[in-house]
Amino acid sequence: MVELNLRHIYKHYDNAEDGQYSVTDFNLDIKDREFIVFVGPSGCGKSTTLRMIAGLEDISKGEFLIDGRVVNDEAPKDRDIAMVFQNYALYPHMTVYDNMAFGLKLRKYDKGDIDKRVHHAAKILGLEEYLQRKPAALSGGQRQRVALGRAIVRDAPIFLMDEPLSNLDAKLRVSMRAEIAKLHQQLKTTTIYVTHDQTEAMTMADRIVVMRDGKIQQVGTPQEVYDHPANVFVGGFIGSPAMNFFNVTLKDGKITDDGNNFTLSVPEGCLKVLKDKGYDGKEIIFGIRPEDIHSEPAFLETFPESVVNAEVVVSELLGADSQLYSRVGNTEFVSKVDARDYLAPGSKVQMGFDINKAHFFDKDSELSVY
Amino acid sequence: MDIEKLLALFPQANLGEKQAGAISFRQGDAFLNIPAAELSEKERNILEIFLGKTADFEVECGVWQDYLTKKSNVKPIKRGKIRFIQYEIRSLNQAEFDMEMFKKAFSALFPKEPEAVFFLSKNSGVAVEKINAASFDKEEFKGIIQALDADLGASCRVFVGHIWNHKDDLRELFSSERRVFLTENPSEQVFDLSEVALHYYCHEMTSKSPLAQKYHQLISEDPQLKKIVVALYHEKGNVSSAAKKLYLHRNTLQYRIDRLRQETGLNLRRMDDLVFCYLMLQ
Repeated sequence: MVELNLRHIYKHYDNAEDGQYSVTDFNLDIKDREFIVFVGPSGCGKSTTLRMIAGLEDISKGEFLIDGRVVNDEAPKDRDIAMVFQNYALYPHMTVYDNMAFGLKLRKYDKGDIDKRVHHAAKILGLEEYLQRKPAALSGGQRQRVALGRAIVRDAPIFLMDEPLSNLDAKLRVSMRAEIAKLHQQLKTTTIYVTHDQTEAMTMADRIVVMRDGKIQQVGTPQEVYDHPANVFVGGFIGSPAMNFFNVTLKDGKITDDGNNFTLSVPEGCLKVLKDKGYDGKEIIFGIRPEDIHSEPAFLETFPESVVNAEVVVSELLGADSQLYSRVGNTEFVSKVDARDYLAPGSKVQMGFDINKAHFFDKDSELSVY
Repeated sequence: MDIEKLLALFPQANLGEKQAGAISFRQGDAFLNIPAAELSEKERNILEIFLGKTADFEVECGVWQDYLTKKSNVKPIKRGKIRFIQYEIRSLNQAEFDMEMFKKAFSALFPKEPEAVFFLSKNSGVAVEKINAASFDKEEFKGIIQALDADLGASCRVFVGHIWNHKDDLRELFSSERRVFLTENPSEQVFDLSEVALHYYCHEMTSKSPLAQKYHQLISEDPQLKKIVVALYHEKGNVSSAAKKLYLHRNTLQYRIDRLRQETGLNLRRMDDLVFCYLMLQ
């Protein structure tokens, strides 16, 4: 049973200017065996937070607790935490066996114990026949498994994974994602996984922590974060392709974009919330996901008040569906439509915005209002 | 002991300059090198009885250490290319730190064992790496350094030196690289000269100029503007790419660039102005 609590954690580097923090007021409670994913663009502080948890970076302010014990000043080796990195984080001239054993040797583990642990990890990962090979003689996936093996031999209850799949090709990333998820179920470790890839976050996490500029933007299950983004950044970051945003004004139960190119009726429930919050007659940010924009005639006929006239800029055929990059006034937006609805660039097109799936954000704070 | 007989016993052995990856025994002006993998601990001990102590790692380190710290003028390399990989261990628990263990672990990072690894202070030192086809690039070091950190429970920063020719004034060049490493403290754990050169060479000059200081204040006091300048510079002035990197809408970024132009006359769409702003941030 391992629970982690991060309370008002700050990180300030010596070379940074006064008051400039790499991580600011980070608060999070992680439950036993939970799979938590820190996601955000590079430089958002997710790896720094992970390294503070590992003890590889000092915590400037705040408290980090493992099972109720404050461990800020505990050495990394005393925290019982194992780390996994990207696949080339292996010692190049050591065999697979030695790569897995090296950390234990440095910690002065008994030779027999090391041997037992390495063979056990190799069995779990299907690496038994590769133990005498060197990293250069392994495929990308096998190397990644060795990197996982280096952590498994530690037999630690907490796993930290820092962008472990970042330099694998797309196909391998998908299969390794499944392997890591399976491994997590098998080993029952509490895992914190860092990635900049929102697809990895969505597919692997029990809960996602979205970060930007050293601050937590939102914590929630993948579904919560996708359905109810806390602000414009989360809305735009989670989901692929990204959510579209338009500056609109709410008036007479309708929203009109700032170039007067379209007007859409706001559904009753949503309108009431927006009015109650004082947005009637005011500018607001309207967000809509590409999958909530339709081009099929049935939708356009059923919801004629949701139609927006646009011009196709680029059309990308992806197999089952197409991504249409279109323009309305000066604003570009992307929609995910049926592949049969392929349209050539320059085509005039009618798009149906499913306003029931719309998101609204405050123009100044960019926080979600509906 | 008859060296010829020993060479016959160990066909992979040779007589010449000391070699990495070999157990070397000094024989007059040359070394008898026997590949380490061919010798058991017992055989090594027996050979030491007859041939004297091995010219082990420490002895070799001494040659480079003496040369680089100006205790000796004998350059320990006669051909090929080398580079200096400097390290500093941060968040170090001095009481529990084992220098020998660290050197062993640091040596293991390299595709081929380095010529020498030695400490120059209680928490920093250098590895001298002979360049070969398998030598790592900076990105590969970034990956493997993480493994070292995890194994040692330490946090290292590393400077990847330039590749120098054996004919260069290696001591002087190392000394210059050392100054850069000790002066600069970028956020990247692994870095090289090109990443910090602007700051290293310009910081002193700009810090003495009231005009440059004023511009520095103007740009750096607005954290958003600072990020925009850096992103645009790294994206070679491309507004769309910079907007993507900043997770801003392109129109938002354009609006902010226009506002800066109206307020200060600096136009970040012009390369000269962009480079100037970036320089003022150093």
